[in-house]
Amino acid sequence: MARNVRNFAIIAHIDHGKSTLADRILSITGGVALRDERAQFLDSMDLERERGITIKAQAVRLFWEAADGQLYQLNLIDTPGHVDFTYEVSRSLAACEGALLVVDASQGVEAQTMANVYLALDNDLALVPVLNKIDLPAADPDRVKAEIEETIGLDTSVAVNISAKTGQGVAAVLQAVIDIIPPPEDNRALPLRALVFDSWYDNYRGVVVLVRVVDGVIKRGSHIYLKATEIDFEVLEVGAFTPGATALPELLSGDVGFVIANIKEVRHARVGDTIVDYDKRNELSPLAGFKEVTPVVFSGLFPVVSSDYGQLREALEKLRLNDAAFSFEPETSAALGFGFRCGFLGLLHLEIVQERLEREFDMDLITTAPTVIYEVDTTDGDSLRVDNPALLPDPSLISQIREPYIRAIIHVPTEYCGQVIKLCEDRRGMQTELAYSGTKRMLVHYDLPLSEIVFDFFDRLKSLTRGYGSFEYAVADYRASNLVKLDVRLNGELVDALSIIVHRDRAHERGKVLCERLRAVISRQQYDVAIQAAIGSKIISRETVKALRKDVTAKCYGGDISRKRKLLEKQKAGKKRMKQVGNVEIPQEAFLAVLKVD
Amino acid sequence: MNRLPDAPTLACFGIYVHYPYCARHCPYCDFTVAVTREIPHARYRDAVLAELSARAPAFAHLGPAVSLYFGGGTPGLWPAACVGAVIDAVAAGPGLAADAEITIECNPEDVDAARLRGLRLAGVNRLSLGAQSFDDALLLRLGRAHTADDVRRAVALARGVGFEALSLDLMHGEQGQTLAAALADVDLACDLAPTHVSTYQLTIEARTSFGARARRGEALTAPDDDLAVAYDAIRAALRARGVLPYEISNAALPGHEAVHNTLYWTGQPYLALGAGAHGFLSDGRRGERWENERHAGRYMAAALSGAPAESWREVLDAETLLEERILTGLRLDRGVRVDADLEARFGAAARRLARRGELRIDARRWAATDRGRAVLNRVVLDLVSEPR
Repeated sequence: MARNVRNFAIIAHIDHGKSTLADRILSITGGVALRDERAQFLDSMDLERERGITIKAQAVRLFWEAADGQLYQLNLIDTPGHVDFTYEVSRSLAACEGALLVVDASQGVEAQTMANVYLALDNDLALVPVLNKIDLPAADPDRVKAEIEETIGLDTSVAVNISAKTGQGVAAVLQAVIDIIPPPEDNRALPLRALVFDSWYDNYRGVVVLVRVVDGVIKRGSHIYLKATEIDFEVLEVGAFTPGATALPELLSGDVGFVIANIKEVRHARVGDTIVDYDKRNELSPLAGFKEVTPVVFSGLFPVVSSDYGQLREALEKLRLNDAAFSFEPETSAALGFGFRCGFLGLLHLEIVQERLEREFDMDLITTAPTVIYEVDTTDGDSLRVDNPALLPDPSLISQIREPYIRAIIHVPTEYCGQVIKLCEDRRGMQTELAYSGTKRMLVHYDLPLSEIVFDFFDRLKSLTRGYGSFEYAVADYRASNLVKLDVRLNGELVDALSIIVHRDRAHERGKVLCERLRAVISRQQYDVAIQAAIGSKIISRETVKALRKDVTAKCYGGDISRKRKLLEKQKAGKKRMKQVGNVEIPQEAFLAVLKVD
Repeated sequence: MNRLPDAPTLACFGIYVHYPYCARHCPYCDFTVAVTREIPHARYRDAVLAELSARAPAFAHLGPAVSLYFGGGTPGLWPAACVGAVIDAVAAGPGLAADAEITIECNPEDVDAARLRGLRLAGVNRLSLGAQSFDDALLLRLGRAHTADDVRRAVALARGVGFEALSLDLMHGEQGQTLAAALADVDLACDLAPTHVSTYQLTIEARTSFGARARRGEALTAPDDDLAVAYDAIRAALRARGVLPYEISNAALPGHEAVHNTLYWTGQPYLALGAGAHGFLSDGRRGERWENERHAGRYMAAALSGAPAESWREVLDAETLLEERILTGLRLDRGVRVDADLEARFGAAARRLARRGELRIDARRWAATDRGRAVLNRVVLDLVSEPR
């Protein structure tokens, strides 16, 4: 007999109200007795709240008395909401039987909604359309329903109109979860198989693993084995978040909950891995869908003060305890000294790591321009993977360079279509499909070099479309390109950390803009600073930061020397954040200025 | 200058008296000032005297004061009898050295023969006149109430009552002033045979009416590159007239360098009296600096109760005192005197700057070169940024 359990997620475009709805559901089911001091309960990291996005999935167990008078256990699984974390979303969805598809009743369907819908359909989830923000004057639920039917092919007769903000319709959403989303299969008689869909490091408990038990039972004392990492642990505790952590005697087939098993690093409990009984580790096959998550964007992280290198290493090691998707290895730059080449899932992921290092570990960092991994065939038959422009072999030794391409889907109101196509063409894109989505929106499909979108593509898209354009991508394949390394010299000295790899046809233009940008961010010093962009030994562009002629305060200070000293201390702090290369002081932002070319 | 020992040999101190009252606000000034219809001259005098009694013991070990400076504000508005009462109290209390420099700042429009005679008789031996410029149009733009002729008249009156030591303040760098006009000001000032000339650059401070105008996007000062040219030209013009630059903003006939300001630049202690005044006491290893309560009414109430009020006080450790010696000492053309502490802390950086041609090093001193002086803020920053 099916149990009164429902496992569901909420999928939505950013700002369409996912977190507000989750919060509402928690409060009407009594999960949050008194409204928590934090506005949105499920987003637990400070950074997430500031950015308005959910980085880590979490699962909350709630109880709700349905219309039939029975009590149901509802497991609400929160999912990350950014393109960088698509794989994590897919594993969270795999832990569910259904999902609420939340769509803003005035904004309509966005690219991100579509991408998540496809992920949900791939996982055979039952979808409940939920039209949110119906309290807003601009809300037009009927039009949006028509759009959902047209673009997704979803039956909207069961759709629920709500306002997560006021709470209107939220109870009806829970009834729809029970009516439309099927209960999990009860396979408790089978040997244990549980899907890991999230894990994080807790200072007191070690790694907390969120699981969906697919078959069998897991309980305290179980000797478990992780199929992908091939490590075994003894379970110390199982339980569920209600929403505080509550220990339970066991988790049954169909349940969602947490497992604590003395695991020290999150990379030992990877998202998508399968937990089985140690005794049956060889006879049971893993659940489908595990993927080794690999970084696609690389950047050098260097301490501004060289002596902080050891501290940076410690900070990175601590961060990795909690972030399996992020990689780092030592890197040496002639200009910046010792640092680390770090790999990220995308630019947002990079920014999050960088901010956590600066905020939680109080590090002053220089981040070099993010780059992708290039495949380089050399003339002597070798094949290299290059994730650092400084390490690209001499052009005479290269027979071919290939770069990663992505498949992008851009969803945009018809009137902005032209600008979006121009943006994609400017970024060396190749159009693969152009289709209407409803009557007022278009789906623009492009194959684009990943390197062209890592930096500011999304920002540009947002501003070109006044915020209405949305964007999804997946890394597709590697293609041969005519690429060259563009170097920067300051007063004749090569600054390896400023090198970038660009398409040959754009090298001159990029070199020119790059020199201009550097001129703007490097402040005047006591001598001229020559900025040159070069391909090999050929200088293609030059700018000069003229020497500072005057910086003296010919002012009467009276006896208030303290004021003058405080000003000096401020300047000292500013100078500390500069990197001295040769005799030139380079501000941190110079290293990122490299990629801002528009 | 030879009258003054260099830090860290600490053997003397000076006294600064701040008189906060002005007839009007100048649009560029952010010193502690109060504009009021009825200035409580006598009460303010009593407050300063009370503060002197309270604070003098801490300076007693430093011998008689080598300077007494009345700044403001507009101390020229204070009746000579009040000024005289303060001078007498200092002479009776901590004591005044026989050759002590006793200066008062005056605005040209405020002086008349009687007042100047009174100040002279009270013991003031040096007059600092806020001339600013000899271009009446510029004086108007600077919000000043006097004219070039007022300056000439004031100087003649001062000479008439026997003031030999006379300093003129000039201001340059206002956007409408040409280089020729700035140099003409120097010449016209020198024509009056002052013993000392201060040349300040118009500096825009946030909490002034010029500051507000600058925030609205108005350019009130000349571009930096023009200022660099003007600065060098002004120093050369002064030197040509025999008034020798000895500090970033100050020039004097030999032997007439300001004693009082040199205390600031060489890290000597100074006793501060009056609203918003800054005091400093140091033994070279540990120092304290404080600012008196800025509000004149509250200042007087506290001082008269026998417990002077301060708006802040900070303790300076040996490292900070060393940094301040660089910060202030390099303003002097003769530079900062080097001892083992300074050498150990900043020696490597100093030699680097010397190789760059910004510092001149000899056995006893580090001094900015002409090139270094033009970018002195950077030179100081580079020195004090040297990792410990």
